[in-house]
Amino acid sequence: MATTQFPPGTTSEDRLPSVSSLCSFGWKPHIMSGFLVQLLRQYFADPNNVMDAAVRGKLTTLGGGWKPADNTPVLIETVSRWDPTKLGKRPALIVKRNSWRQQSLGLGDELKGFASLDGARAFTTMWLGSHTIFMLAGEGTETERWASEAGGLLLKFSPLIRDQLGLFAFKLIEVGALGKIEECAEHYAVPLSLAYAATEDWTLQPFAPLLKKVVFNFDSMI
Amino acid sequence: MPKPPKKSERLLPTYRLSGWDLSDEQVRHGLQIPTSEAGRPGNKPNFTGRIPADRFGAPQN
Repeated sequence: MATTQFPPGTTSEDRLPSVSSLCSFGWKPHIMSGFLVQLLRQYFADPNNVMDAAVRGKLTTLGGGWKPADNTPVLIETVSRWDPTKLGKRPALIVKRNSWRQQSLGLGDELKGFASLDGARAFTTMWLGSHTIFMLAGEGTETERWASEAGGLLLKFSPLIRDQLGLFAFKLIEVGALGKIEECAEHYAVPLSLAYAATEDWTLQPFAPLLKKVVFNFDSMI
Repeated sequence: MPKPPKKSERLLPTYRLSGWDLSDEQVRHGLQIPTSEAGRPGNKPNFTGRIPADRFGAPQN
């Protein structure tokens, strides 16, 4: 069994159930996009994961689940990597990031009231962000069924996602109306919107001790 | 050239990816985070300064 290596200098109290780069780097918009793409790809990679029989049947008919190839039966991609001209008749899940808004949790985002002998200052702030996943498919009902499947995944697993990723909130907040999409007129679309909240925490550590510039001249004090 | 939409398709909204975003209100409502001080517990946005008559008997003025 492999042993997890913790950074030198850390104590056992610092150890977490799952060591992740999120602990070091925190949440960033592109990380959330990557997570959502990865989650959807893993789910739709195997038709046996799918609850809706029609969606499962369609995936099987198209040659199985998502695969890392240009001819994947279902396209799952971020909006910046998606090429509408190569979609054809396939269903697709397009992940788009929306605005992230900053929510202060205290004056100056600073954690006050802690004596720090080395002069370090601790800060925290909250990000309220959202992503929209556009479910595209060739027929109206087909789009609705795929959207319910993908929406169900995000809704029902949201407590686990929130816990595992250290988020304060993670919710499917809207399953939009069935519509058309301007960039891909052949397909129907249902927008699935997610909202989440995550803190960003940091410390400012001075290079020199706080009192370095205070010179005690005993001669002048006598 | 794209074919014209079917009659039934004209009833549907058209989404535009390039301009898509959610409003602050939509996100806050979805996450159940109050949008103003008035929404926080303990604050009463309709407080007039008068003590309600039915709490302490006779009205104050």
